Amino acid sequence: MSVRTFLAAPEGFEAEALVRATAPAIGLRLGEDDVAEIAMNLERSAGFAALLADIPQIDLEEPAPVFRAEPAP
Amino acid sequence: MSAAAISEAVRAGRMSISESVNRALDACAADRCNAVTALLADRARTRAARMDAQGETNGPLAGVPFAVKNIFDVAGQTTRAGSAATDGDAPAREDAFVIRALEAAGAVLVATTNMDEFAYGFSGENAHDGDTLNPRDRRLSPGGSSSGSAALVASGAVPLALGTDTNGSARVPAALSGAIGFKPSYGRLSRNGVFPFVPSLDHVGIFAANVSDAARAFAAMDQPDPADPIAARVPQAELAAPRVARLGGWFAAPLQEDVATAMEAACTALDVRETLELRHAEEARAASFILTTSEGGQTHLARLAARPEGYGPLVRHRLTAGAMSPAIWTTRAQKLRRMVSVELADLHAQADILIAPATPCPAFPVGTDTHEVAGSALPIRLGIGMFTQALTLTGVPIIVLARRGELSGLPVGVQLIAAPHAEATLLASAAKLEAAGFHTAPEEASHV
Repeated sequence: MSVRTFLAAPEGFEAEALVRATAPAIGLRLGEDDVAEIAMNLERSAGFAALLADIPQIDLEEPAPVFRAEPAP
Repeated sequence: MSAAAISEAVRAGRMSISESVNRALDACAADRCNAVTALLADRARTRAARMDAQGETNGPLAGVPFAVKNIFDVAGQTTRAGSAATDGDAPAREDAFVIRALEAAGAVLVATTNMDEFAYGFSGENAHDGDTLNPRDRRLSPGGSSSGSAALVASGAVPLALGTDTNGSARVPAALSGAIGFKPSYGRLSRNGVFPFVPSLDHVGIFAANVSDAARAFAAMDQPDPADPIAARVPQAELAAPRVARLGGWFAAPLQEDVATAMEAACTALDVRETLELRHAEEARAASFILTTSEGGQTHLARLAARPEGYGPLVRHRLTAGAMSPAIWTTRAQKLRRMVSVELADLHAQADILIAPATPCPAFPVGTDTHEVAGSALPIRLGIGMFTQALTLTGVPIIVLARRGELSGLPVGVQLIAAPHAEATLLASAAKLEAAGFHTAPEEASHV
């Protein structure tokens, strides 16, 4: 396909290192066999995230509404 | 039989509700697509007998048998959500809101259906329950994640079924199996009693064999429910002459020939004279991917920590990676979500209905990783939902209609996309497209 269905992670992104560092911080114990598979998924997400990072000024945009302050019913 | 024909026959006394329900139970029991995960025969027969005895034949869905993806709560059953990780969960105390709404209209729940584990996938593969097969050709995938619900409707076993749609889980299987797949506006149908996947994207979806039945089911479930925190119901009046345009750009990607021909036919049928572009469609698809993996990972974090062995490896690794996503990825995705929703609203100011392909190709072989589309290899798990996933985070109502491709003989689908809460106009346009040939009759259930 000429459209991009898959995007590579940015160069230098060390997914396995991120997996090993994050697992204890969020209470997960991982088998060694899992680390590479999880890292591969994170690399995929990093590729998509890089596409968003390329949008000019995105960090200054307003996020989608996720909370509405409303009076109690 | 269609839902309308069943309820009419029941109302006129030509068929009892028990007869209708027994037919559906027999068809579900003969399922050869691995679409059914639990046959609710006792419950269905008891309810049908009581309705017959009490003359409850006037509901808009009187005697209509239906099935639900096993992600919906069914009283007394564990809500499996397609996973062994839920095996120890307590049985649901009551039916999901939408099941109660359909039954209040006279319908009868007969079965729960197979799905991609925790709704995370487009292929109908399931490591615990086995893969769902396409009733049009059992060598092929029916699409997912609401695979069993789509397959049961396309097979003719039931006229109605419920699924969910987070990134296209109703729309993709509707297109590949050949059924109507309808995702109303985000928040329009209550998710109370639906196992969550990505709360900011989760929708209830409807499968039916025709637009009229889908509209009938929608009307029965379209009720306020304060128990769903994102419930929103702002019905818009049907427009007499909606303006229709085609989506270009990302949605004009190379298509398998049957899909391309179907798009041309749909544009002709709805008198399309303009192509509009959703400028950040590719980024919208990326944002949906990130929100899905990160929110899904968070939804499952406690369960992943407690019993990771209950998950199939594919889903366990995806969700774990999502739980580890840096926060800036998700906040950028939420910002993109707002940007693209504004962009889509601008397009809807120019055209009331937009048309886009549902998938780039018809159904693909079960278990395949890549599939050739227009001379290139499409990575199936990432690519088959590329057109549905790009729209999902806008929360607009979308309906998929399918017709048989002339080359492949398989169903191919198009999406009709309306503005938030413009379901009435959307369904009217869908009926017009259906009348122009976008209809795929269910297979004979006994042959499936």
